[in-house]
Amino acid sequence: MSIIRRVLGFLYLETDSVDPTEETNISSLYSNNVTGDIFIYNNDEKWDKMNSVAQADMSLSAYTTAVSLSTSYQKLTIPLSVESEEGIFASTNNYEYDISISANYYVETYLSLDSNSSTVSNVYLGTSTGTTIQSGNYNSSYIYNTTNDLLDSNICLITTIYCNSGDTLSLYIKSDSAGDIKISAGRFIVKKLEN
Amino acid sequence: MIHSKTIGNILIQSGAGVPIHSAPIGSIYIDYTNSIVYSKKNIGWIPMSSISYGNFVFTNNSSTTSISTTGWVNVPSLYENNNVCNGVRISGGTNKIEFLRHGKYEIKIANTVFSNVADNEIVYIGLFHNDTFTSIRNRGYFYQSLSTDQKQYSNIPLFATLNIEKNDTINLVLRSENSSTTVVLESSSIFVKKIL
Repeated sequence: MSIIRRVLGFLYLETDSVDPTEETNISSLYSNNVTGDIFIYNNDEKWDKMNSVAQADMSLSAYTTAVSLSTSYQKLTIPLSVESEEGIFASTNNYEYDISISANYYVETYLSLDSNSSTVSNVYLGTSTGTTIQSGNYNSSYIYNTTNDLLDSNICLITTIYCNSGDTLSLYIKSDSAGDIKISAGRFIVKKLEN
Repeated sequence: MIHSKTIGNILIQSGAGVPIHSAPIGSIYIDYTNSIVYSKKNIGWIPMSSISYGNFVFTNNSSTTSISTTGWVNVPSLYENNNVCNGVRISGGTNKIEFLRHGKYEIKIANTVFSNVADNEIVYIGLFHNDTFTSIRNRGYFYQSLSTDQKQYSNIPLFATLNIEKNDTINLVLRSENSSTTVVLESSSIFVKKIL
Protein backbone atom coordinates (compact mmCIF):
# COMPACT_ATOMS: atom_id res chain seq x y z
CA MET A 1 0.00 0.00 0.00
CA SER A 2 1.36 3.36 -1.00
CA ILE A 3 -1.06 6.23 -1.23
CA ILE A 4 -0.57 8.71 -4.05
CA ARG A 5 -1.84 12.20 -3.28
CA ARG A 6 -2.26 15.41 -5.28
CA VAL A 7 -3.42 18.78 -3.92
CA LEU A 8 -6.46 20.50 -5.48
CA GLY A 9 -7.11 23.73 -3.61
CA PHE A 10 -8.32 22.82 -0.10
CA LEU A 11 -8.68 19.10 -0.76
CA TYR A 12 -6.72 16.08 -1.96
CA LEU A 13 -7.07 13.71 -4.89
CA GLU A 14 -5.87 10.33 -3.64
CA THR A 15 -5.52 6.76 -4.85
CA ASP A 16 -4.41 3.47 -3.33
CA SER A 17 -5.10 -0.26 -3.59
CA VAL A 18 -7.38 -0.47 -0.51
CA ASP A 19 -10.50 1.36 0.72
CA PRO A 20 -9.66 4.61 2.58
CA THR A 21 -9.57 4.75 6.38
CA GLU A 22 -7.36 7.73 7.22
CA GLU A 23 -8.68 11.16 8.16
CA THR A 24 -8.06 13.83 5.55
CA ASN A 25 -9.33 17.21 4.38
CA ILE A 26 -13.10 17.59 3.93
CA SER A 27 -14.32 16.79 0.39
CA SER A 28 -11.13 14.97 -0.62
CA LEU A 29 -11.68 12.44 -3.40
CA TYR A 30 -10.22 8.92 -3.27
CA SER A 31 -10.06 6.14 -5.87
CA ASN A 32 -9.46 2.48 -4.98
CA ASN A 33 -7.32 1.46 -7.96
CA VAL A 34 -8.14 -2.27 -7.51
CA THR A 35 -11.96 -2.20 -7.19
CA GLY A 36 -12.59 1.08 -9.03
CA ASP A 37 -14.69 2.39 -6.14
CA ILE A 38 -14.73 6.19 -5.65
CA PHE A 39 -15.02 7.79 -2.17
CA ILE A 40 -15.50 11.33 -0.86
CA TYR A 41 -14.58 12.48 2.68
CA ASN A 42 -17.79 14.15 3.79
CA ASN A 43 -18.72 16.88 6.28
CA ASP A 44 -19.36 14.22 8.94
CA GLU A 45 -15.66 13.32 8.58
CA LYS A 46 -16.36 9.87 7.17
CA TRP A 47 -15.57 8.30 3.82
CA ASP A 48 -18.69 8.01 1.62
CA LYS A 49 -18.59 5.58 -1.29
CA MET A 50 -20.09 6.85 -4.55
CA ASN A 51 -22.68 4.70 -6.30
CA SER A 52 -22.68 3.86 -9.98
CA VAL A 53 -26.08 3.95 -11.62
CA ALA A 54 -27.86 0.69 -12.42
CA GLN A 55 -31.63 0.63 -12.66
CA ALA A 56 -34.44 -0.66 -14.85
CA ASP A 57 -38.19 -0.23 -15.15
CA MET A 58 -40.87 -2.44 -16.70
CA SER A 59 -44.59 -1.61 -16.87
CA LEU A 60 -47.93 -3.29 -17.46
CA SER A 61 -51.18 -1.70 -18.58
CA ALA A 62 -54.58 -2.84 -19.81
CA TYR A 63 -53.94 -6.54 -19.28
CA THR A 64 -57.29 -8.29 -19.12
CA THR A 65 -56.52 -12.01 -19.22
CA ALA A 66 -57.23 -13.91 -16.04
CA VAL A 67 -54.32 -15.25 -13.98
CA SER A 68 -54.88 -18.50 -12.08
CA LEU A 69 -53.50 -18.39 -8.55
CA SER A 70 -52.79 -21.23 -6.15
CA THR A 71 -51.87 -21.32 -2.48
CA SER A 72 -48.18 -21.70 -3.38
CA TYR A 73 -46.06 -18.93 -4.85
CA GLN A 74 -45.79 -19.07 -8.64
CA LYS A 75 -43.74 -16.87 -10.92
CA LEU A 76 -45.66 -13.98 -12.48
CA THR A 77 -45.12 -14.54 -16.21
CA ILE A 78 -47.08 -11.72 -17.82
CA PRO A 79 -44.82 -10.02 -20.45
CA LEU A 80 -44.12 -6.40 -19.50
CA SER A 81 -43.06 -3.32 -21.48
CA VAL A 82 -39.46 -2.28 -20.90
CA GLU A 83 -39.46 1.44 -20.06
CA SER A 84 -35.77 1.96 -19.26
CA GLU A 85 -32.59 -0.04 -18.74
CA GLU A 86 -29.36 1.40 -17.33
CA GLY A 87 -26.96 -1.33 -16.23
CA ILE A 88 -29.79 -3.79 -15.46
CA PHE A 89 -31.54 -5.59 -18.29
CA ALA A 90 -34.82 -7.43 -18.71
CA SER A 91 -34.66 -11.10 -19.59
CA THR A 92 -35.76 -12.04 -23.10
CA ASN A 93 -39.13 -13.12 -21.67
CA ASN A 94 -39.73 -9.50 -20.54
CA TYR A 95 -41.05 -10.35 -17.08
CA GLU A 96 -37.87 -10.73 -15.00
CA TYR A 97 -34.38 -9.22 -14.78
CA ASP A 98 -30.95 -10.71 -15.50
CA ILE A 99 -28.58 -9.51 -12.76
CA SER A 100 -24.93 -9.01 -13.74
CA ILE A 101 -23.50 -7.30 -10.62
CA SER A 102 -23.54 -8.89 -7.14
CA ALA A 103 -25.04 -6.25 -4.83
CA ASN A 104 -28.01 -5.16 -2.73
CA TYR A 105 -30.94 -4.10 -4.88
CA TYR A 106 -34.06 -2.03 -4.24
CA VAL A 107 -37.31 -3.43 -5.69
CA GLU A 108 -40.44 -1.31 -6.14
CA THR A 109 -43.58 -2.95 -7.50
CA TYR A 110 -47.28 -2.29 -7.60
CA LEU A 111 -50.14 -4.22 -9.17
CA SER A 112 -53.78 -3.33 -9.68
CA LEU A 113 -55.77 -6.49 -8.89
CA ASP A 114 -59.25 -7.11 -10.27
CA SER A 115 -61.52 -9.70 -8.73
CA ASN A 116 -62.35 -12.46 -11.20
CA SER A 117 -63.71 -15.25 -8.99
CA SER A 118 -65.46 -15.62 -5.69
CA THR A 119 -62.71 -17.76 -4.18
CA VAL A 120 -59.71 -15.43 -4.18
CA SER A 121 -59.40 -13.11 -1.20
CA ASN A 122 -55.97 -12.50 0.29
CA VAL A 123 -53.30 -12.06 -2.41
CA TYR A 124 -49.53 -12.05 -1.77
CA LEU A 125 -46.90 -10.45 -4.01
CA GLY A 126 -43.21 -11.27 -3.48
CA THR A 127 -39.86 -11.01 -5.21
CA SER A 128 -37.04 -13.51 -5.24
CA THR A 129 -34.09 -14.93 -7.18
CA GLY A 130 -35.37 -18.44 -6.44
CA THR A 131 -38.59 -20.15 -5.51
CA THR A 132 -38.39 -19.23 -1.81
CA ILE A 133 -39.78 -15.84 -0.79
CA GLN A 134 -37.82 -14.49 2.17
CA SER A 135 -39.50 -12.72 5.08
CA GLY A 136 -39.61 -9.02 4.26
CA ASN A 137 -39.71 -9.62 0.50
CA TYR A 138 -43.50 -9.77 0.14
CA ASN A 139 -46.66 -7.80 0.84
CA SER A 140 -50.34 -8.73 0.82
CA SER A 141 -53.67 -7.22 -0.14
CA TYR A 142 -57.28 -8.28 -0.02
CA ILE A 143 -59.97 -8.49 -2.69
CA TYR A 144 -63.35 -8.26 -0.98
CA ASN A 145 -65.77 -10.31 -2.99
CA THR A 146 -69.47 -11.03 -2.56
CA THR A 147 -72.22 -11.53 -5.11
CA ASN A 148 -73.03 -7.86 -5.37
CA ASP A 149 -69.87 -6.22 -4.11
CA LEU A 150 -66.63 -6.51 -6.02
CA LEU A 151 -63.77 -4.37 -4.78
CA ASP A 152 -60.59 -4.10 -6.79
CA SER A 153 -57.41 -3.69 -4.85
CA ASN A 154 -53.89 -2.35 -5.21
CA ILE A 155 -50.84 -4.07 -3.81
CA CYS A 156 -47.56 -2.24 -3.30
CA LEU A 157 -44.23 -3.94 -2.57
CA ILE A 158 -41.17 -1.96 -1.45
CA THR A 159 -38.19 -4.03 -0.41
CA THR A 160 -34.48 -4.77 -0.75
CA ILE A 161 -32.84 -8.02 -1.80
CA TYR A 162 -29.28 -9.24 -2.35
CA CYS A 163 -28.66 -10.62 -5.84
CA ASN A 164 -25.64 -12.48 -7.14
CA SER A 165 -24.22 -12.04 -10.60
CA GLY A 166 -26.06 -14.46 -12.89
CA ASP A 167 -29.26 -14.44 -10.81
CA THR A 168 -32.68 -13.86 -12.32
CA LEU A 169 -34.93 -11.57 -10.28
CA SER A 170 -38.64 -12.37 -10.59
CA LEU A 171 -42.04 -11.55 -9.14
CA TYR A 172 -44.08 -14.26 -7.41
CA ILE A 173 -47.77 -14.29 -6.52
CA LYS A 174 -50.15 -16.52 -4.57
CA SER A 175 -53.48 -16.38 -2.71
CA ASP A 176 -55.02 -17.95 0.38
CA SER A 177 -57.29 -20.05 -1.83
CA ALA A 178 -57.04 -21.05 -5.49
CA GLY A 179 -58.87 -18.98 -8.10
CA ASP A 180 -58.57 -16.39 -10.83
CA ILE A 181 -57.73 -12.71 -10.72
CA LYS A 182 -57.03 -10.13 -13.38
CA ILE A 183 -54.11 -7.74 -13.25
CA SER A 184 -54.89 -4.48 -15.02
CA ALA A 185 -51.81 -2.38 -14.33
CA GLY A 186 -48.42 -2.68 -12.70
CA ARG A 187 -44.79 -1.68 -12.45
CA PHE A 188 -41.57 -3.60 -11.71
CA ILE A 189 -38.65 -1.27 -10.89
CA VAL A 190 -35.17 -2.38 -9.78
CA LYS A 191 -32.24 -0.19 -8.64
CA LYS A 192 -28.76 -1.20 -7.52
CA LEU A 193 -27.98 0.24 -4.08
CA GLU A 194 -24.25 -0.26 -3.78
CA ASN A 195 -21.28 -1.11 -6.00
CA MET B 1 -12.31 30.65 -6.42
CA ILE B 2 -12.09 27.45 -8.45
CA HIS B 3 -8.91 25.35 -8.26
CA SER B 4 -8.30 23.36 -11.41
CA LYS B 5 -6.02 20.71 -12.88
CA THR B 6 -6.01 19.64 -16.51
CA ILE B 7 -5.92 15.95 -17.47
CA GLY B 8 -6.02 15.50 -21.22
CA ASN B 9 -9.17 17.22 -22.45
CA ILE B 10 -10.96 17.41 -19.08
CA LEU B 11 -10.63 19.39 -15.85
CA ILE B 12 -10.52 18.19 -12.23
CA GLN B 13 -11.79 21.13 -10.15
CA SER B 14 -12.81 22.15 -6.66
CA GLY B 15 -14.77 25.15 -5.44
CA ALA B 16 -17.44 26.39 -3.07
CA GLY B 17 -21.09 25.69 -3.94
CA VAL B 18 -23.02 24.43 -6.95
CA PRO B 19 -21.09 24.68 -10.27
CA ILE B 20 -22.58 26.83 -13.03
CA HIS B 21 -19.43 27.60 -15.03
CA SER B 22 -18.55 26.13 -18.42
CA ALA B 23 -16.16 23.19 -18.65
CA PRO B 24 -15.40 20.38 -21.12
CA ILE B 25 -17.75 17.38 -21.00
CA GLY B 26 -16.31 14.70 -18.72
CA SER B 27 -14.85 17.20 -16.26
CA ILE B 28 -15.20 16.58 -12.52
CA TYR B 29 -15.99 19.26 -9.92
CA ILE B 30 -15.96 18.87 -6.12
CA ASP B 31 -18.07 21.24 -4.02
CA TYR B 32 -15.86 21.27 -0.93
CA THR B 33 -18.43 23.07 1.24
CA ASN B 34 -21.03 20.28 0.87
CA SER B 35 -18.84 17.29 -0.13
CA ILE B 36 -20.73 16.71 -3.39
CA VAL B 37 -19.08 15.53 -6.61
CA TYR B 38 -20.42 16.74 -9.98
CA SER B 39 -19.66 15.42 -13.46
CA LYS B 40 -20.07 17.59 -16.54
CA LYS B 41 -22.53 16.06 -18.99
CA ASN B 42 -23.80 17.49 -22.26
CA ILE B 43 -26.83 18.87 -20.35
CA GLY B 44 -24.79 20.55 -17.60
CA TRP B 45 -23.27 19.69 -14.22
CA ILE B 46 -24.86 16.56 -12.70
CA PRO B 47 -24.36 15.66 -8.99
CA MET B 48 -23.24 12.12 -8.10
CA SER B 49 -24.83 10.35 -5.14
CA SER B 50 -23.00 8.78 -2.23
CA ILE B 51 -24.25 5.56 -0.65
CA SER B 52 -26.54 5.54 2.36
CA TYR B 53 -29.70 3.45 2.52
CA GLY B 54 -31.83 1.17 4.65
CA ASN B 55 -34.93 -1.01 4.49
CA PHE B 56 -36.92 -1.88 7.63
CA VAL B 57 -39.93 -4.19 7.55
CA PHE B 58 -42.43 -6.22 9.45
CA THR B 59 -45.11 -8.61 8.19
CA ASN B 60 -47.94 -10.72 9.63
CA ASN B 61 -48.67 -8.41 12.56
CA SER B 62 -52.11 -9.13 14.06
CA SER B 63 -52.07 -6.87 17.11
CA THR B 64 -54.43 -3.90 17.11
CA THR B 65 -53.51 -0.26 17.57
CA SER B 66 -56.00 2.14 19.16
CA ILE B 67 -56.37 5.38 17.23
CA SER B 68 -58.53 8.47 17.54
CA THR B 69 -59.29 11.72 15.80
CA THR B 70 -57.48 13.86 18.37
CA GLY B 71 -53.83 13.04 17.75
CA TRP B 72 -51.28 10.81 16.10
CA VAL B 73 -50.20 7.52 17.73
CA ASN B 74 -47.10 5.51 16.97
CA VAL B 75 -47.20 2.36 14.84
CA PRO B 76 -45.95 -0.83 16.57
CA SER B 77 -42.21 -1.12 17.28
CA LEU B 78 -41.78 -4.22 15.15
CA TYR B 79 -39.36 -3.13 12.43
CA GLU B 80 -36.34 -5.27 11.59
CA ASN B 81 -33.49 -4.78 9.14
CA ASN B 82 -34.21 -6.28 5.74
CA ASN B 83 -30.85 -7.33 4.31
CA VAL B 84 -27.91 -4.98 4.76
CA CYS B 85 -28.29 -1.30 5.70
CA ASN B 86 -25.60 1.32 5.19
CA GLY B 87 -25.67 4.56 7.19
CA VAL B 88 -29.22 4.12 8.53
CA ARG B 89 -30.46 2.06 11.48
CA ILE B 90 -33.38 1.37 13.80
CA SER B 91 -33.11 3.64 16.82
CA GLY B 92 -32.72 1.45 19.92
CA GLY B 93 -35.70 -0.94 19.88
CA THR B 94 -38.19 1.71 18.83
CA ASN B 95 -40.20 2.30 15.67
CA LYS B 96 -37.86 5.16 14.71
CA ILE B 97 -35.40 5.10 11.81
CA GLU B 98 -32.17 6.98 12.57
CA PHE B 99 -29.89 8.52 9.93
CA LEU B 100 -26.12 8.43 10.52
CA ARG B 101 -25.20 10.72 7.59
CA HIS B 102 -26.65 14.06 6.62
CA GLY B 103 -28.06 14.73 3.16
CA LYS B 104 -31.21 14.74 1.06
CA TYR B 105 -33.07 11.42 1.22
CA GLU B 106 -35.89 9.80 -0.73
CA ILE B 107 -38.33 7.94 1.51
CA LYS B 108 -40.71 5.27 0.21
CA ILE B 109 -43.08 3.38 2.48
CA ALA B 110 -45.61 0.62 1.77
CA ASN B 111 -48.21 -0.24 4.43
CA THR B 112 -51.00 -2.78 4.57
CA VAL B 113 -53.80 -1.90 6.99
CA PHE B 114 -56.89 -3.96 7.76
CA SER B 115 -59.86 -2.97 9.83
CA ASN B 116 -63.46 -3.74 10.69
CA VAL B 117 -64.07 -0.20 11.85
CA ALA B 118 -67.40 1.66 11.53
CA ASP B 119 -68.97 2.59 8.21
CA ASN B 120 -67.05 5.07 6.11
CA GLU B 121 -64.11 5.35 8.47
CA ILE B 122 -60.90 6.88 7.16
CA VAL B 123 -57.50 5.89 8.54
CA TYR B 124 -54.50 8.18 8.08
CA ILE B 125 -50.83 7.21 8.06
CA GLY B 126 -48.47 10.14 8.67
CA LEU B 127 -44.72 10.72 8.82
CA PHE B 128 -42.92 12.30 11.77
CA HIS B 129 -39.46 13.86 11.44
CA ASN B 130 -37.66 14.35 14.76
CA ASP B 131 -40.97 13.70 16.61
CA THR B 132 -42.78 16.45 14.67
CA PHE B 133 -45.47 15.90 12.03
CA THR B 134 -44.16 16.70 8.55
CA SER B 135 -47.60 17.21 6.91
CA ILE B 136 -46.76 14.14 4.79
CA ARG B 137 -49.68 11.71 5.03
CA ASN B 138 -51.92 9.40 3.06
CA ARG B 139 -55.20 7.68 3.89
CA GLY B 140 -57.20 4.51 3.42
CA TYR B 141 -60.98 4.35 3.21
CA PHE B 142 -62.93 1.53 4.88
CA TYR B 143 -66.38 1.58 3.42
CA GLN B 144 -68.54 -0.58 5.65
CA SER B 145 -68.59 -2.75 8.74
CA LEU B 146 -67.36 -6.21 8.00
CA SER B 147 -67.37 -9.40 9.97
CA THR B 148 -64.05 -10.79 11.15
CA ASP B 149 -63.83 -13.19 8.21
CA GLN B 150 -64.44 -10.37 5.76
CA LYS B 151 -61.55 -8.16 6.65
CA GLN B 152 -61.06 -5.16 4.46
CA TYR B 153 -57.50 -4.24 3.58
CA SER B 154 -55.97 -1.08 2.25
CA ASN B 155 -52.48 -0.65 0.83
CA ILE B 156 -51.40 2.86 1.84
CA PRO B 157 -48.09 4.11 0.37
CA LEU B 158 -46.15 7.21 1.45
CA PHE B 159 -43.45 8.85 -0.68
CA ALA B 160 -41.36 11.84 0.41
CA THR B 161 -38.05 13.67 0.09
CA LEU B 162 -36.51 15.13 3.26
CA ASN B 163 -33.40 17.10 4.15
CA ILE B 164 -31.76 15.12 6.96
CA GLU B 165 -29.11 16.01 9.53
CA LYS B 166 -26.92 13.41 11.25
CA ASN B 167 -28.89 11.56 13.99
CA ASP B 168 -32.29 12.78 12.73
CA THR B 169 -35.15 10.26 13.05
CA ILE B 170 -38.37 9.50 11.20
CA ASN B 171 -41.31 7.33 12.28
CA LEU B 172 -44.81 6.43 11.14
CA VAL B 173 -47.97 7.46 13.00
CA LEU B 174 -51.69 6.70 12.72
CA ARG B 175 -55.00 8.44 13.38
CA SER B 176 -58.66 8.21 12.29
CA GLU B 177 -61.06 10.70 10.71
CA ASN B 178 -64.42 10.18 12.40
CA SER B 179 -64.19 8.23 15.64
CA SER B 180 -61.93 6.39 18.07
CA THR B 181 -61.34 2.87 16.79
CA THR B 182 -58.73 0.16 16.31
CA VAL B 183 -56.80 -0.92 13.25
CA VAL B 184 -54.16 -3.50 12.50
CA LEU B 185 -51.06 -2.38 10.63
CA GLU B 186 -50.41 -5.85 9.29
CA SER B 187 -47.23 -5.06 7.37
CA SER B 188 -44.99 -2.08 6.76
CA SER B 189 -41.82 -1.53 4.74
CA ILE B 190 -39.80 1.68 5.10
CA PHE B 191 -37.09 2.31 2.50
CA VAL B 192 -34.78 5.32 2.67
CA LYS B 193 -31.94 6.24 0.31
CA LYS B 194 -29.61 9.20 0.17
CA ILE B 195 -29.97 11.23 -3.03
CA LEU B 196 -27.35 13.91 -2.30
